[in-house]
Amino acid sequence: MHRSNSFLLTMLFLSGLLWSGCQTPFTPPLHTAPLGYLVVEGSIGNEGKVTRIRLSRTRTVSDTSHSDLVDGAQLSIQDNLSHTYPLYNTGDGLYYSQSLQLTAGNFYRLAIQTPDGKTYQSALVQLKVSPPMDSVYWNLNPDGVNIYVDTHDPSGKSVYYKWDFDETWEFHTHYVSYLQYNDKHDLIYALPPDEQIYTCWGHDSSSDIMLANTLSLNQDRIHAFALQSIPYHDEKLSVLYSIRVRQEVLDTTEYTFWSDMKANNENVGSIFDHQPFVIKGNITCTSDPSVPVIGYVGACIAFQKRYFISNQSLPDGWNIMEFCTPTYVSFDSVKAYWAMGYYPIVKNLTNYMEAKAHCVDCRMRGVNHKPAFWP
Amino acid sequence: MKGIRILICLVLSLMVMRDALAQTRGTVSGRFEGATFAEFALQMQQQSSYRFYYQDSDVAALNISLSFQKAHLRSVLDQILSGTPLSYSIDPQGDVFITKGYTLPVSLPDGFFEGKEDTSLPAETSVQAGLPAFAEQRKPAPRVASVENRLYAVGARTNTLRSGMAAVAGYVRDRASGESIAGAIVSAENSTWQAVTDQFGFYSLKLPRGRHQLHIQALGMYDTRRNIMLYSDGKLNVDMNQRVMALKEVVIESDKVRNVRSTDMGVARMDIATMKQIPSVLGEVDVLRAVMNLPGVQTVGEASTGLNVRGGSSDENLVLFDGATIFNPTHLFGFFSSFDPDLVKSVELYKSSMPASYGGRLSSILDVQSLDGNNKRFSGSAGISPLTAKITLQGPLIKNRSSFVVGYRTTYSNWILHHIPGKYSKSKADFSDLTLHISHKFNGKNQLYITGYASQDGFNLNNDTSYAYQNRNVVASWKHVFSNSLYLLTSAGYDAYAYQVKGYDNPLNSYEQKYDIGQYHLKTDFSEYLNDRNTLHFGVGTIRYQIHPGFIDPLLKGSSVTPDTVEAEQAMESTAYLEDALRISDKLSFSAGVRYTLYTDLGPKHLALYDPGLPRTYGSIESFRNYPGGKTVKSYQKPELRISGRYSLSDNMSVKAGFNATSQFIHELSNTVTVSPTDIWTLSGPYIQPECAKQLSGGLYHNFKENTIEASLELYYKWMNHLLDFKSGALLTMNHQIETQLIESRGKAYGAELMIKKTAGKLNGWVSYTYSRSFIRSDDPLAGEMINHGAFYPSNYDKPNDLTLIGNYKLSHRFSVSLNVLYSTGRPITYPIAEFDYGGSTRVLYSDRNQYRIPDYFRVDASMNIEGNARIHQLTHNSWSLGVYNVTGRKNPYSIYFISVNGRSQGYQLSIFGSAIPFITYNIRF
Repeated sequence: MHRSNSFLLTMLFLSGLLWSGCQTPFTPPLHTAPLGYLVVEGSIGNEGKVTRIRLSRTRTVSDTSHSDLVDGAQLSIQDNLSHTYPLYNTGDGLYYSQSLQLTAGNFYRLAIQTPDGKTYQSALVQLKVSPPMDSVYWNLNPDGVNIYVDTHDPSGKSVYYKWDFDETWEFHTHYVSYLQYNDKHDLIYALPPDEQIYTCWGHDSSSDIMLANTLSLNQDRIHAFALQSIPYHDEKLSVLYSIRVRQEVLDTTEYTFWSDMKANNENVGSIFDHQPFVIKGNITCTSDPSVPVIGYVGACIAFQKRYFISNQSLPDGWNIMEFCTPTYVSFDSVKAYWAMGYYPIVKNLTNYMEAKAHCVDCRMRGVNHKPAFWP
Repeated sequence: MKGIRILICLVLSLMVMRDALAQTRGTVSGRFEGATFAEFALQMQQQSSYRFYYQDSDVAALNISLSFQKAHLRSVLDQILSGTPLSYSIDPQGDVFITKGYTLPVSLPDGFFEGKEDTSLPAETSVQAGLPAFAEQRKPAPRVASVENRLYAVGARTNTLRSGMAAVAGYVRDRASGESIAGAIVSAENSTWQAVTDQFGFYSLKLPRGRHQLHIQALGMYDTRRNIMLYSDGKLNVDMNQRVMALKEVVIESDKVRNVRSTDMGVARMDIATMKQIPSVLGEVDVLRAVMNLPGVQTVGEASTGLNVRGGSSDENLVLFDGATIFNPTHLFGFFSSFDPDLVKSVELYKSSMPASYGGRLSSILDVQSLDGNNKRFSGSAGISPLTAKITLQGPLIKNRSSFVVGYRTTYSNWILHHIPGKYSKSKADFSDLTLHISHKFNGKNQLYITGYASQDGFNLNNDTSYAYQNRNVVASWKHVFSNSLYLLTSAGYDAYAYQVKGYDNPLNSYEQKYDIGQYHLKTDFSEYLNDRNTLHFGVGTIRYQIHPGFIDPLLKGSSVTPDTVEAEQAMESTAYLEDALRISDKLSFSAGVRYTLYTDLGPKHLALYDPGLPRTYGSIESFRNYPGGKTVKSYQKPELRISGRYSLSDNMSVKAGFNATSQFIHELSNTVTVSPTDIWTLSGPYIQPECAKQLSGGLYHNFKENTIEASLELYYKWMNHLLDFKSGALLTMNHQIETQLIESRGKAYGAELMIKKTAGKLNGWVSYTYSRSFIRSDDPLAGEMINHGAFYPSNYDKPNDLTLIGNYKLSHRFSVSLNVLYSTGRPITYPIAEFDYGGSTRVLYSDRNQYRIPDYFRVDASMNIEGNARIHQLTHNSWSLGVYNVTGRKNPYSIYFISVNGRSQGYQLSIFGSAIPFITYNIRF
């Protein structure tokens, strides 16, 4: 009785107050033509000595079909002393500089000429150098592993920090198979000796904008900024995990640009949402100033470092068995089972032992080529 | 002819009557055979000193055949008149009245000429008078004159009436509790002379000397009347009887003829009984949410109790509780209003014609009145709802002279949160409020009122940041009556609001941030009833503001947070006003007022001076200027005109028009759609101009069916200047140069409000339809950015169509059902215009503000109220209220937002009460 009473109250309270349960996906009935504004992503010195810039164009909302990349543009870094350093298009909208010796304290900008003949330019910004990160470390809590960064700038000039990361992890499938099925010829044959589908590497990169500042602190020191949290039992930490963290230092307007971007896109969905607003970047279309451009090209020699976390440093219970059961498939049914997503493991006398592809073929969720940096 | 003679004789005989004892006038003898009554009467008059009064037509049918010797006249008349519809009565002078169908009373009830105040009545009379009509009929007629039939002599009695005018004044109170009744109308019969009681129940009415019948009407009270003989200026207090059976009674009442007769426009009154019948979220009777149902009042969404009155933002409402300003009238993130409904007597909302005594906010005044407390006996009430528990106690401190009422309300949401497994078990959300009101009557001329109010809120939704905020108010008012024509009300008080945010997520960055605002206020208002044409209201007031915009301090040991303090702001707002309620003729009357405010922003101040040609940013600061404490930094003078007029087209129809100017010197800075508890108030100064508004309004008012149906159509157009908007991504907390974050903007709003209200009968309530628009324009070239290219854009609360039905139907005395149906256009929203990949995720691009709308809002609520027992005399009264909020379970969107999660952007619709929410509440009165 007591139990049901408190349950009733709880339900009333929940239904009344906890709005999180009341959010439903929504697609607005928008019929806007694609605007095709140029989007410039990257900052000078973002790969250390190398600068990497990505060009794309805006697309209509909820159109996930493609990323409208811009290849074939002419990009160059210019400094306030009229030096010019070209960037080279490597496809996929990416442009890289050569390894450059840029001078901290000098002013740099990015000049762009797109294939449609329009020219763009970012504002001149002073090149900063990110201080090194003091450490990237992790701790274990009941929800999983949290990864933190500590950093500081003894000169006190950095103040505004931004991080991003990419992560790579090794993982294994449930079964080891040396077989491969060729559905064109309906044949099962052994994998070549240099090919294996048991060990793969997954890859991901940060998608949240991570910012911090030390304005209100009495020293330019960031302590335990949470970069990433990996839920308990996650496969990322099943063998060996690696995270490469990049730290950049921003100036005030650049920091505002990023925090506005975050505010508009990430800090929403509460009852106290602010008004969405137009975000100002620092790029203008010099051939037609009325054309909007998205992006902020800053200048900072980023500090990047890679860290590893091994499964051996985690408790034994981290890895849990994947749900995989073998199925025995007669020789004449292999094609039918293939169509249902089964993959051969071992050949028996009268049949194949098979299992769902994700239990057998690690390429379903990673690549089977060991990255160069992997120990 | 004879009838008139009878009446004259009756009046004369009453005038000379001295002796209440019946006398015998000897015996009579006679012998009649087929005689007429006239013959009989003549013979009787010859034998004795009896005189007969009758109508010939009444006695024409009588045929008298009777003989009697030395008989008493009474026994003779008994025989003659038995079996006829005629009856007789004999007065002490020997006058015999023959009447048809009724008996003429010949002796006046006891105390007929003694009474001056009906409070001298024996207690049981009050109780009898308190019964509803159906019960009264079964009771034997009381021997004591009903207060309504007595003739009260007002003023010094004179033998002959002088000509000219005299004033009658006094208090209107609830007979049972002694509670004063504000807004009661006292009107003289068959004339347009009328007065309305003020918040202390005081009225004053100038009338020609002589006999009048006064009609007294008030919300939730039985109408009553008093017969007076007005000799000279004098006092008449009136006790009114509560409509005891709340269930049987009217849900919504307005002051009947007031709608048509007063010069007010855009004024809505609601008593707590009304609010209690409106189905509410989780059964929590909510003053602000009830007010939202009135035409012209909008809100950005269900999560908010912020009111947007006629296109104004939610900080443009002055929320007064017995004259104390409540800076944040909400609990629990703004979901509920912070007024304990058991302590509230009534609410008045002024959205257009604002009395000149009020000011300091642009859009409206929400005047919440507390109960006075029962000055006759101790009583109390308690109640529980799914959210709160509350208790109220009231009673006399000195019987009939001073009373108190105290109420406490708290939530057990913490307890509930702790019982929710998992995710929310670490969350906290609690609130409470405490209200105390004391009133004391020194004598008939001096009264003192004290109100204290405290509320506190705390919440922490499963993270490591906790929030707390508090209101603190105290106000004392003294009322002094100089004469029937002049009284003053002076009040002084202190209002404060503060919040604290503690972040202890990371010990090294842990902090405590605090904000507070306080104001001392002093105000004196005079009301003078100059003559039957002019009533003056005038007064002066001053407010001293002090704001501490922010402190930040390290919280835990080892925190490297630098302590920081944003410079305090202080200012003085002094006001004088004069207003005349002017009656030109029975048909035409005006209210004309002027309010003048001198606002001074005071030092100490470390003022940044900006390059005059550049947008104000940190980069454009040229130098700083220091102002010592108390020195004027900037002052503004604002005269405001308040005019309204009424012309009666007929007894129950009138047209009205008005012009109102308002200004506001204190501004709530909020760049969120909904006002949050951590928004800060800031003061006008060199860079923040006072906001000002002008409103032109007109209306047509018509009452039908003996004023039980009121219809009104009001139109308005409003201009607003120097409104505040914010730059993109503005940082408002702990900002030392807040002016760098602001953009000045302008606004305009217009609309039409149609309302039909049924105020009596089994079915009552109202239907209203509002068409309204509100727009904002930010085109300040010095702001550095223009919203929507400097064009007018719809405000967040621009909801053109709004249809509201609030109804209550009484099935029986103990059972009633209520229904709300609400529809409105969805509020404007900014949708993204494009999508792009940036920073590892899909992001959206926003452009022009508020160019789209969320889907329309529609909600139906139903509830039923069950009164445990309708008897008046019992130890406790129980009542239950149960119902469902949002019966159809429609997921009304509160907002639509696009969020980047795991590298993808997805649109979501957020509903606050996205399902049917049942509730049940229990209340007990003792």
